[in-house]
Amino acid sequence: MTSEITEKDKVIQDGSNAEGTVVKDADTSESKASPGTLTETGRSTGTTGRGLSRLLPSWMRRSKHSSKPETVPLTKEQPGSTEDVAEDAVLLKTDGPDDVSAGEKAEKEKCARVDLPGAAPVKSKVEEPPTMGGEGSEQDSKDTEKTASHSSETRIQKRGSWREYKLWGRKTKEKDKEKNEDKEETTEEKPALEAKMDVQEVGKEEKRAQGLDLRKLIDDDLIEIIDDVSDSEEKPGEQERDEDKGIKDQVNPTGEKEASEHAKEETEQPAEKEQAGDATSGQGVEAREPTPAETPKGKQDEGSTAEQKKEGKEKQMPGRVARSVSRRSRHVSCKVALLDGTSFECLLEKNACGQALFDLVCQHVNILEKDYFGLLHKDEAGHKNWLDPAKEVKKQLLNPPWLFSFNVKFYPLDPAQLTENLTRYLLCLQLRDDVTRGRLPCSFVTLALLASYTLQAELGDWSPQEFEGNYATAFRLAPNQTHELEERAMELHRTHRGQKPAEADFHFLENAKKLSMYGVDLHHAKDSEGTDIMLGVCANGLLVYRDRLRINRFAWPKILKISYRRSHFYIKIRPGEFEHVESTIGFKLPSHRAAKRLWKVCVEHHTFFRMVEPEKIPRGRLLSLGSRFRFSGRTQAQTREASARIDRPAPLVRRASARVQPSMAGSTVRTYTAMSSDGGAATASRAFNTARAAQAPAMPTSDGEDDVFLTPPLPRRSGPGEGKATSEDQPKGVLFYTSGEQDDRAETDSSKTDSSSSDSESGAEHEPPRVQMRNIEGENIYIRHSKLMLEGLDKTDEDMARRKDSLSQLKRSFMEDTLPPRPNEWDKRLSVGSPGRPSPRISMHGSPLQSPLNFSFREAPEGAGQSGNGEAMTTEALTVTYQAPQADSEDGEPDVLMSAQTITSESVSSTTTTHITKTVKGGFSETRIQKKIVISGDSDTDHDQALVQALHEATVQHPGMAITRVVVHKETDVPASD
Amino acid sequence: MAGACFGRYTHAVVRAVPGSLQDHAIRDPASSPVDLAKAQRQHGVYVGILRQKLGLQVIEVPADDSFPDSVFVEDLAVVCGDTVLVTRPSALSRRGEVSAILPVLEELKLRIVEMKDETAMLEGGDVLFTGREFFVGLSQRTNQRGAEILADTFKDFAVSTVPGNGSLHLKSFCSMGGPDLLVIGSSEHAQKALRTMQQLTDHHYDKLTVPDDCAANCLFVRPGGKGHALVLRSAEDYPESIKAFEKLKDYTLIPTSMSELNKVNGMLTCCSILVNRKLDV
Repeated sequence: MTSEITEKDKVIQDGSNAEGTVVKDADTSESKASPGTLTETGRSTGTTGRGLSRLLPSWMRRSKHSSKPETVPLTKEQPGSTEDVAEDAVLLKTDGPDDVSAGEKAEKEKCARVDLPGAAPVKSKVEEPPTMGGEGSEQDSKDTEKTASHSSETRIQKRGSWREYKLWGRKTKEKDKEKNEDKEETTEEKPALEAKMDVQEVGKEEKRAQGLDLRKLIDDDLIEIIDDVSDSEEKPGEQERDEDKGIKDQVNPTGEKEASEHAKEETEQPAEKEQAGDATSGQGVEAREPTPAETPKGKQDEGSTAEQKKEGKEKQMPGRVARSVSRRSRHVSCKVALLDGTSFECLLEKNACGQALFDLVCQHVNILEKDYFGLLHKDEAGHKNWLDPAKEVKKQLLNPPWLFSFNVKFYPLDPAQLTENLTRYLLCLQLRDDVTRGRLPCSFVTLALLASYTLQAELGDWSPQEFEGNYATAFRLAPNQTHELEERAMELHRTHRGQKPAEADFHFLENAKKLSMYGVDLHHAKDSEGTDIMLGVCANGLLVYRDRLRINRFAWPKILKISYRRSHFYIKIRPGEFEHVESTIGFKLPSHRAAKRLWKVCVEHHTFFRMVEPEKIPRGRLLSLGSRFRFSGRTQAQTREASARIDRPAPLVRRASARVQPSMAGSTVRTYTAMSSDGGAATASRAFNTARAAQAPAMPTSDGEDDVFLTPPLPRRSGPGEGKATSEDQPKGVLFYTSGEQDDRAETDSSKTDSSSSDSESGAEHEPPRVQMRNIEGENIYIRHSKLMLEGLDKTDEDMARRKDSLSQLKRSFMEDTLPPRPNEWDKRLSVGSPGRPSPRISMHGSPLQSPLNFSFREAPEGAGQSGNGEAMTTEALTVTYQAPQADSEDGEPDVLMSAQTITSESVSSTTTTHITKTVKGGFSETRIQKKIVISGDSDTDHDQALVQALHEATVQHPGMAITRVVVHKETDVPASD
Repeated sequence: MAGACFGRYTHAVVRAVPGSLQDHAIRDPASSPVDLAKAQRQHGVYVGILRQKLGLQVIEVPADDSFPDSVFVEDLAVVCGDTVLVTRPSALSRRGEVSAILPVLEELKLRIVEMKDETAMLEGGDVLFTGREFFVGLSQRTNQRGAEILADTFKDFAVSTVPGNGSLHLKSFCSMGGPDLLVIGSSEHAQKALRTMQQLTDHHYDKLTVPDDCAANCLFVRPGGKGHALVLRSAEDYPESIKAFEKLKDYTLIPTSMSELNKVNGMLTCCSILVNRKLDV
C-alpha cells in the first residue's frame, strides 16, 4: 500500500509541477482566455494535451462566458464520458485565475453546466445517456414541473442520477483515464501539493483567496444542485413550496427553461440573489456565470464570503443570517433530540443553512469538538439522512416541523484522543444507544462490562448501603436486557470503585471501540448476483457483509472512485499487487435515494478519516481537503488539531444521574463529589468562557476539571476510610495544605484523563522549563508563574500547539500507565500528605523531559521546609482560592459572569496575582478570588515563613471568604556545582 | 480485549488416541497407514509439553473407540474468552464426540453455546482466531451458516470468511505464531488465503512464511502469561520450516513430532482445546 501511495504521490507532484507552470501562464483574467485555455481542472496532475484540445467542453465556456453560449462548440458526441469531464477539469485548472485544486473547479464547471440555460442543446448531446431508460420517473416529475426543454431535462436527469467521487490517493492523480463512462459528476481528491499551495496563497493574495472561496462556493453549489435534482425526483411537490424564483432558477434544473438572459440578469444583481436565500447558492451562481465585466466584483464578493466561511462557522453564520433576515424574517421551529434524551428547540431562519442549526445545537450542548457530530433527520420513508451543513435546511426537509436528532456522525477511532470529557461523554451516550438498539452488537461479557461502566459513570461508586436490590434495572443497558446481565453488570460495577464518571466513560469507550461494528454505518444492498448483503462504511473503508460475516473489504486507499447511478452504487478498485487491472464493482441499493445516501456517507467518511496519517499533516493540505466536495466540515486531522487548541475549562457534563436524586443524596461522599465536580467544572467553564469572550486575555482560566472553585463550600462528609481531607472539607478560614495542586484536583477530578492533565500541569509548575507542558486546561496563570514569571502571556500559536502536543502525549502515556483499575489509587492520592505520588506521574515529568531541575513535591508546610534547604534556587507558587460562602451548589442554571479582574503585584521576593471573578448563578452571586503568590529566592529564604505570611495576609485581606483550596508547589534548581 | 492476553491459557482439554484411529479415521486415501503406537507416543509427548512446558492444567478425556477421530478435539469447540461454541462437525461419525467434551467444558464454567441449526457445519480447525478477529475457512467441513453462528456467538469480533480450501481446514496451512503474527505455508492456496485475509482485515499482521504448509500449524502459548512459547513441528518432520521459525526472536521453540497423526490430517492445534479461565481483567 505504501509503495502505491508513493508512486501516486510522485505522479501528482509531477503533474502539479507541470501544471504549476501552466497555471502561472494562465493566471490571467478569464475573459482573456480563449475557450481552450479557460478550462481548469481538478486533476491537474493528469492533464494531457489531448485532454485540452479535445475537451474545451461547451459547458466550460458557458460557465465563464455565459453571455455567449452560442459560441460554444459542440463537445464530443461521446456521451458525457468521464474522461471528458476529468480532462475538462484539468484544463480549467491550468487556466483558472487561481490555481485552485482541480477537482473542485471541475465541480464548479459542472455546476455551471447544469445551470446554464444556453448550454442545453449542447448538453443534451454530450450527456445523451445510453442508459436513460430507467429514469422515467425523474423525467415525469420534471415534466410536470416546468416545461423545460427536452434537452435540458435529459441533462439534469443524468446529473441527478449519476454521481461520482474519485478517490485518488491522498495526493494522487489518476493516471488511467476512465474511458467511455458516462458520468457527469466527478469529485476528485486534490493533489496535496496543490491544496497546500492554495491555502498559502489565500493568505497572500486576495486573488488567490477569491479563487479558493470560489472553489468552496462551487462545492456548495454542486451539492445543492444534486440535492435539488434528487428532490425533484422524489419530492415533486417540494419545489412549489419555494417561491423564491430567483434561486430556483439558479439552482433548480427546472429553471433552465428560462432564457439565458435570465441568468445574465442574475449575475448582474448578485446582491439580490444573495439575499434571496442561501448565500452560498447565490454566490455559486455568480461564480458560474459572471459576465466578463462583472467577474472581478462578483468574485471579490464571493471571496470575502468564502473567507468568512473558512475562518469559522460562527462567522459565517451571522452573515448568512443577516442576509436572510433582510429579506424575510420567517422562522421555523426546529426540534432536535439530543443524545441525553432531552431535546432542544429553537427558531431557525427559514433560509438558514444546516450549519446554522448545527451551531446552535452545539452551542446548546456546549461542545467544541463538534466535527464528530451531525444532525440526522428522517425523510418520508423513515430513512435517516444527515443534514448537510452547507445547504439550506428547508431544501433538505419537507415542511415543518423540523425534527432532527443530534448524533455522532464520525466515530473517532481512538476516543482517548478526544480532548474533552464532554465529547467522550456524548460519544458514550451515542454508543449506549447504539448498543441498546442493537446497532452495535456485542457479546454478553462485553455488554455487561459496558453496562457496568455506565453504572459507574451514572451512579458513582457502589456501596452496600446505597445500592440495594436490582438497581441496574432502571437503566437500559442492552437490547434484550436480562436479569443475568444486570447481575453481572452490578457485579462488575463494584470493581470499578473509585472511578470518576469521566474515567468510567473512558473505559467504556476503550472497550466499545474495539467492537467490530464500532462506527460502521450499515446499508442494505444486493451484490451483482442479487444476494442480500450489507455495505458498511467506516473509518477505514467499505466493508461488505453477508449476514454477519464479512465477505469483503475495501480500504479507502484501494478505492479509486465511488459513484452512483440510479440505484446502483459503484466502486472502482485500484489495481493492486495481484490484480493488474482496475475493476469496478457494482452494488444494487434499494432506491436511488439509498444509493445517494450511501455515496454521500462514503464521501464524508473518506474525507474525514482518510487524511489522518501520522507522518504528515501539514495544515494547508488538510484545510483544503476539509473543503472538499460534499463534505464541508473538517477532517479528523483538522479536528484534532483544533481540539488540541481548546483552551477552556472542562465543560459541564450533565449526566443523567444528576437528575437522579438518590445517587446525589450525598450519602456517598465520592459520588457526590464526582457529580458536583462535573457540575462545578461546567459552571466554571461557562464563567470563564464568558470572561474570555469579554476579552480578558490574562484570565486565569482555572483548570477546568477543577470543580473546587465553584463547588459550594458545603461541608462534606468524608467517607470512612477515604482518607481525604479536602479544602472543601475544611471549615472556613482554615488553610489546608495539600501536597500539590493535583492532589486537590484529583480529589474532585472527574477522570484519570483529567488528572493526568492536571498532573502534567503541576509538573510544569514544578519546573519552569516544562511550562510548555501545561496549558492543556488553560491554566495560563501557572505558566506565568513558573520561573518565567508573567512572561507567558503572549505565547505564539506554535508554542501553544507544541505544548499541546507534548501534553496530550503525556496525557496518553499517563492513561496507559494507569489503565488497570486500581480501586483505591485515588483514595491514596487524595489523602493529604500521602507519601508517594503515583509513579507514572513522576516518570512522566521527570524522565522524559530530562529537565536539569530537580523538583520535589512538597506536602504540607513541613515538607516545604525540607525540600527548600540546600538548594540554590527555589520558586514556590501558592494558590489560594477563596470562595464566598453563599455560593450556590446547584449548578443547574448557567451562571453569568459579572466581573473579572486580575491584579498583579510584585515585591522583592514574591509576586502575587489576584484574580477575582464574580458570577451570578441561580440567583446567588459568587465571588471567587484566586491568588497566586510566587515566592522566589535562594535557599536562604525561609519559604515556610514566607508562605505563612502570605497566607495570613490573604486571610486578613479577605475576611468573610472561605478558603476552598490552597495549592503549594515548589520548583527548585539543582545547584550547578552539584 | 485480546491483544495482551492472547496466548494466555490455563487449561487444555485433550483426548487420547483411540485404537480405531488406525483404521477408521477420516483421511486421504493416499496417505500411508498410521503406526498407532507411535501416534499414541507422539500424542503423549504433546500432552506432556502442554502440561510441563506450558504449565497448563490438562484435562484428559478418555479415548473412545467408537469415535476414531476423537483425538482432534479442537474441531469440536471454539473458545474465546469465557464463551465456548460447541460446533457441529460435518462428518456424521464425529457428531457424537461432543457429548464427552461437554461436561468438561461445563466444568470449566464456560458459557456454552451449542450449534443447533441442522444446516450449519463448523469445525474448529477452520476457525482462526487472531486475537482481534476471526477468520473462518469455508470448506467442505464448514459452511456459511456455521460461520454465521460463530459470528452471532462472538459478537465482539469481526468474523470474516475465507472461501474455498477444499477438504482442508483453514488451520492446516496457517496459525497464529504470536500476537499479530500469522504463520502461513507457502503453497499456492495458502498464499491465496493469506491474501484474502489481508484484504479482509482492518489490522496489520506480521507474517512468517514457512516452506511446508503443515509446519505452519503451530501452537502459541504464553506460559504463565509471559514469554512466548511456540510448539512446532520438529526438524524431523519439517527440517526446512523449522529454520524459518528460528528467526523468531525471544521465542521458546518447542519442537515435537506429529508425523503419525499428520497422516490423518492431524495438526498440532487439532489435539487440544485451550482455555483461559483465569479471568484477567
